[in-house]
Amino acid sequence: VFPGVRQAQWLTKTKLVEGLPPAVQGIVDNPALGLQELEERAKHVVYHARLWDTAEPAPRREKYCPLLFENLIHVCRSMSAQYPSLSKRMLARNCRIAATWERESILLQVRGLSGILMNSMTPIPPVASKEEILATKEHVLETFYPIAPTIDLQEVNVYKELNDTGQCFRDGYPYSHPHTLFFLESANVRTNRFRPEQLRAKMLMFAFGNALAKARVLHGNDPKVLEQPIVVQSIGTDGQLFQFMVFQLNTTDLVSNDGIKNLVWIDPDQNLYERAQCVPEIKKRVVTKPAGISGFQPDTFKKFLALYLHGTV
Amino acid sequence: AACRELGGSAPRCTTDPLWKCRTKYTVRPVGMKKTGGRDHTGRIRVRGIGGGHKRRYRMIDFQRLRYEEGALPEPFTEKVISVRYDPCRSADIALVAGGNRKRWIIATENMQPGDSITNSPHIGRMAVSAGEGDAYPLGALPVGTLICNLESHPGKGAQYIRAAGTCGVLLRKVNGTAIVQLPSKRHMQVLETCVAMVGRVSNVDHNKRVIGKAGRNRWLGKRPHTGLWHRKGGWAGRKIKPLPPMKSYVNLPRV
Repeated sequence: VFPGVRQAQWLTKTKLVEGLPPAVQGIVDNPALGLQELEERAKHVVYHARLWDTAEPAPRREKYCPLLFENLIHVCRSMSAQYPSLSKRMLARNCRIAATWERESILLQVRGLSGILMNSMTPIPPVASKEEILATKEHVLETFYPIAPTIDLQEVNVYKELNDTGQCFRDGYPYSHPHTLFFLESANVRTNRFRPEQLRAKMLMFAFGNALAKARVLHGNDPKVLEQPIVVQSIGTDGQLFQFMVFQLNTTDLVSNDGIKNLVWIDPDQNLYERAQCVPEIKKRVVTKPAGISGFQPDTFKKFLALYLHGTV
Repeated sequence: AACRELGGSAPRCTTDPLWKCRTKYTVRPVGMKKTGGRDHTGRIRVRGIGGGHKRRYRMIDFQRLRYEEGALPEPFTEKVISVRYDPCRSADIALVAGGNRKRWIIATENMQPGDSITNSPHIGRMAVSAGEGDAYPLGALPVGTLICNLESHPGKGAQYIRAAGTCGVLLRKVNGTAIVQLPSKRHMQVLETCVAMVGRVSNVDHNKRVIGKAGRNRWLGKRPHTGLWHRKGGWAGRKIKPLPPMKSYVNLPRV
């Protein structure tokens, strides 16, 4: 109907900031990471996923998307020689998330498989300063009159208000803090995939759900402003376009529309490469587009790596 | 408390014989089964229908004052989200959203995405200055407005003036009833609580289009006519007749 991110912002009482937060941007610009050979490896990863992997002429999206993701994570994890605390991370797939919250007397719920979740032993430090958090008090959430903000949501009879986070966040589990969520849009047909805006909205809702569940585990079920804001990152991709997002939960008091809001930094629509031709395109016996990857953007991979390293550097 | 969740999708079958029996309203297009002019016995009832491009039916809400469940019967506004072509009719349709629901309605001439339209059931003492696309009872509109999507009985749903570029004129209001001139110049008398939409129906140049070739008619689902000339047909030529008497849908008490 209209951009899903705006609706998700109202539902989660969040203020949007364009671009990545300065802490993550600092990691991107830090030259001491030795990114040259990592770029080479990232390029190889893209070639492998898009071109070399299959016996058919071109690999399908449901094959190359997870493969690309796996290889990128592998490249990032190989940095753990330099940063030993990177090894204290754990990937969980098909994690079921459930969180309920009330928003102006309407009960909302996020349920379902939340993609791939990466947990760590230590939480990510809050990204926004105290002044920024207090400044969100004056920010007014936009209204969608005459459309209600809960439009297009399924109405469901709820029998149990679940606030469960699966096995990940129970007490005593060493890797108990949600770090990053990964979403892979790998349906073959374009109508089954989420468009970039819808993917961003889905990322926001699930990041919020995870953060809220963690907050309820840490601080109990009462709505209040959090002393230690909880930060959850999320990365969504469909194999070519990457959406980066950092979500900071400042408050669980979501019933009223005023007061401190949560913050989200979104860096939308980063292309990792322009085109991946498996067979060279030939028009009238002249090669117009040679086979291979064209337009590789190392910046996107740097941001991916920065989000991965955030919290340990 | 009822709460909401994200939903999924599934395409519907086109050869489903019960496609018309869907009770729940949905915005997504429904696959239609074409009849080819055949009735329930299987023989042709109407000649000249068959073939043509496949169409999906979008459920249009002709009752403008349909309230959501749990909403009060009072004036409400809706926002136009998009205006698009409908393969099943000559007019364009508009997706409007208000409150928690979206529905399709027939678009008027100058409707753009982002407009706000109001629907109101009240009849005040003074006539309302209605903008295009709003829906008011006939008693609330000033005499002489162009209207479309007219109902014959209150609450029945619009059955008149729905084709592309058509409009009716509100002629006069007579103690509790209103008289409207239809596009065929026939006069119609209805109760003043019947709701109508203000403005001309969209796609105004529909009658100026040129079909161009026989194939385009076939795409529209029209099969060819017989070429035999019937001498006593009587269809050709200009016809001059007096206006038929005014049709009244108001049940006056028997005197």
